[in-house]
Amino acid sequence: MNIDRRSFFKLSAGAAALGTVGFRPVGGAAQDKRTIVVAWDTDIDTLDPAQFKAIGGYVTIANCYDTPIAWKVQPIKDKPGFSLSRPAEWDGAIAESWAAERDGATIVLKVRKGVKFPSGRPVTAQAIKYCFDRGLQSPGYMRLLFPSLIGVKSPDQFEVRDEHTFAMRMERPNPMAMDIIALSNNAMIDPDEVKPHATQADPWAAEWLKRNIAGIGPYRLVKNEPGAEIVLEATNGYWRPEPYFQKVVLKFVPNEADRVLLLKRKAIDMVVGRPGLSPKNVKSLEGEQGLKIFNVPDTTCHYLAMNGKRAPFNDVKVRQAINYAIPIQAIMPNVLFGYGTQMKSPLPHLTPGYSGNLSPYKYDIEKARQLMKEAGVKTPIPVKLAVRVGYVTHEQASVWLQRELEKIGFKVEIVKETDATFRQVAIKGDHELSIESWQSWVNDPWYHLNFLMHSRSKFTNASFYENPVLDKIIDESLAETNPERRLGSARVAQKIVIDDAVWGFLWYDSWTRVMKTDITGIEKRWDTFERYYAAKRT
Amino acid sequence: MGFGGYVVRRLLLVVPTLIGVTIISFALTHLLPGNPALVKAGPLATPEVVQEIERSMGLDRPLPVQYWRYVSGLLRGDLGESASTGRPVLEDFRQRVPATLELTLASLLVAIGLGVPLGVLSAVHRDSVLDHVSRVLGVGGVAMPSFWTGLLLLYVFFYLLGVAPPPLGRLAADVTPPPRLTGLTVIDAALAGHGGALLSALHHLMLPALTLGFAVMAPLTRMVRATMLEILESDYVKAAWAAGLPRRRVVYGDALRNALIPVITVLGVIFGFLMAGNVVVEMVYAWPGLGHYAVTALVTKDPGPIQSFVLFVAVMYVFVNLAVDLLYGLADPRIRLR
Repeated sequence: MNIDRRSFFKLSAGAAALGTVGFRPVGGAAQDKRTIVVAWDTDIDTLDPAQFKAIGGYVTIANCYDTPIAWKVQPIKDKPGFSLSRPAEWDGAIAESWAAERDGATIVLKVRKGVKFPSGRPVTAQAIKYCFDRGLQSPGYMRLLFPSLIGVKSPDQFEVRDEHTFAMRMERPNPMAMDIIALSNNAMIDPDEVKPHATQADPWAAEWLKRNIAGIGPYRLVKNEPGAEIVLEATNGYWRPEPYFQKVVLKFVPNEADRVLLLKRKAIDMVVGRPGLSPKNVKSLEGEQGLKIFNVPDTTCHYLAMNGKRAPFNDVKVRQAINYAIPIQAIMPNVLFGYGTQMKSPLPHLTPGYSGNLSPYKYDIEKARQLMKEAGVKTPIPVKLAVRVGYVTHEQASVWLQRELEKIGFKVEIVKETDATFRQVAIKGDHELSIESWQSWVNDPWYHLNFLMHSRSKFTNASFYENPVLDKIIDESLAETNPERRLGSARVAQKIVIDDAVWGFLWYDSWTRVMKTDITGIEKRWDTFERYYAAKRT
Repeated sequence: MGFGGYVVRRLLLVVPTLIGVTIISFALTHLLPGNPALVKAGPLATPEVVQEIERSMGLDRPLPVQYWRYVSGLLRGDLGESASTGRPVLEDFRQRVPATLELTLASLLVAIGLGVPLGVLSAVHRDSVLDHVSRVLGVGGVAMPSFWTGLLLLYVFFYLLGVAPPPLGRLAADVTPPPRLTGLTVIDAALAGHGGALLSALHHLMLPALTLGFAVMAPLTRMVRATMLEILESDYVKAAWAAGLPRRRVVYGDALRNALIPVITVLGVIFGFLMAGNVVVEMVYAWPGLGHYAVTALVTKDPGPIQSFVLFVAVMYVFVNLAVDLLYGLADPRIRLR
């Protein structure tokens, strides 16, 4: 092993040359126009439409499976190339039309004729029944949502009237029914393809559907390499006109700084995910040549959960005091950089029935101190404020909260927990203060309040709020069909929650996507996950 | 006992080590706070659903039973399932281990290729500018966190100069991957005689390997420099000088050969640094290896991947140390293997 100085330098020079010469410049050059490349940081956890938890699973399912009906999207004024869904508007999909019977207690879907599964078999009312039966009886979301929200408890309530007519009979009319049907969990799977994989122990072939897609949708999954990339390709012979993007490449890029550099270098078309970019980074990309930002208000709620089962948070005065001590006027510009909206109600501001004028809370440290005094608690009160590791906005907001809460007599220790720990501690009731977030897939006040404020929602009512009066209102309103009464009682419920200061009200996210300027046709639906069918490159 | 017997004995000693490792990795996942069933159940779960998942994951059984299930699964090649990818852990490992190994080996080459010459040169030209530069580089490599070096290199070579590829994997998007034999893209491409893929693979490996190699280079350089200095002062080198042998032959022939022996020892240590550094560097370059997989598993407390990762690293350690011992015996005949 003889390395002299000269040959060492020759070698290094050679290595350096290898690095720089002989490679064409990279970044956006030789890309196929009809391929879209996006970066995110999620994998497919499962392809079972009843069970996915990860965004990767959800987005793949939403693009590879149609639903019987879908949330309608409409262009937004002043934002060409972008569309949004609006409350109570749907489009036909596999079902070309729908009708109500028994005053809305039965919903009848007319299956579109001539639609075929990739296997060549026609899509029929029997197929819809299979999907709904499966949802109701296999482990997953629909087994919970069908009975608890719209009173569908038995598969007999799903009825095939003829080859192209399917009916869902609920106990009572329910205004949430259409939104529940539009959920991606009701993916159109091909029963004949799935059934052979069912076993005694696994009658709904959950094991097989975890790793396979068997149904109809605009795209099909051609590659799934966790931690690297997911590739979707347009389905041949799809019943709608073929999408502009023949190929969707979803690249796994775990580091946010990389995602920023990739965008700036135009090596990718868009960053997606929740959140794919923190507000600070979105802000830094404002005005960047060749990029554009799509930014609309959204329904994701971020709030300070105060454990009502523990002193001193069982005292309403203390909870109110905290609401007066939240430095929201500092958090909005310094943590969210304007990409968010101040929360003034437990309901999202885009949800029907939202009342933005009920909350008296604003930053007023004197008033907060006064309330603490009235509560008569002995200060300083040591308290732990829990946030999840990697939730950038929560981590930053916790520091702002800490400073202000210490002014009114708390001694705040910020505790950072992993997802698994955070959930476990939360459910055991061992959090004192914690920053939680929630997004309701169904944009309905009672869906939202049922999960977050009802005393029976043990896992999601993070403040452990227990109020029989509110419980009763929620129970009565879940199926209330009279719009005036439905929204009127929403106002009453919001007043109760606000007066009781169940949460420290923080903010609603904005839905932001940063992309190259030639990308258009981006749509945001209630579930916040993009479908690439309508996306285009100009 | 001969060389063969020594190897067999060392290999047999691996067994109790591995049993210990399985116990530790198992205990570790159970000592960590957090309930994986809750993560798996998702936000809308009810207590009944969580119990059902706990049952299906076997979390409701007594710990010794769970341990036995884990070990007996291990013997059948069943490492459990990953909650984040929904696939058997073994399948995930098959996909990711080659990426990690490729990066590790390439970084080792970088570390040796840069570290050894630097060490030699700074010993020969002691206290010269070159020695100081090497010292600064060494300290810098240790002091600068690799996520920072990585980002810096990306910023300069990818973003500013555009000579490095985007951090989007191991090959350019328009290059057909070579047929998979070893899973190490560079080697597969070379074996297939696929020049385009080979260049692209090297191109993509360049910055990550440099980042990681740079971070672990320092101990190597310092070790080579120190032994080299010692040897250059030794009697036989002085004798060689006195005998009028050419400088080059003395330094690079006699001295260097002997200075390289301790390097073998350091390799074991460096390998440890590399495994730890991998996690960070893979994050920065979106390198699809085990690093990010292990981190995700830790955050969601996913038992299968965590236990398998710990086991994998332990096995690697055991074999690298064995290899170091064997190499040492071969390189230095004074050392007897018993």
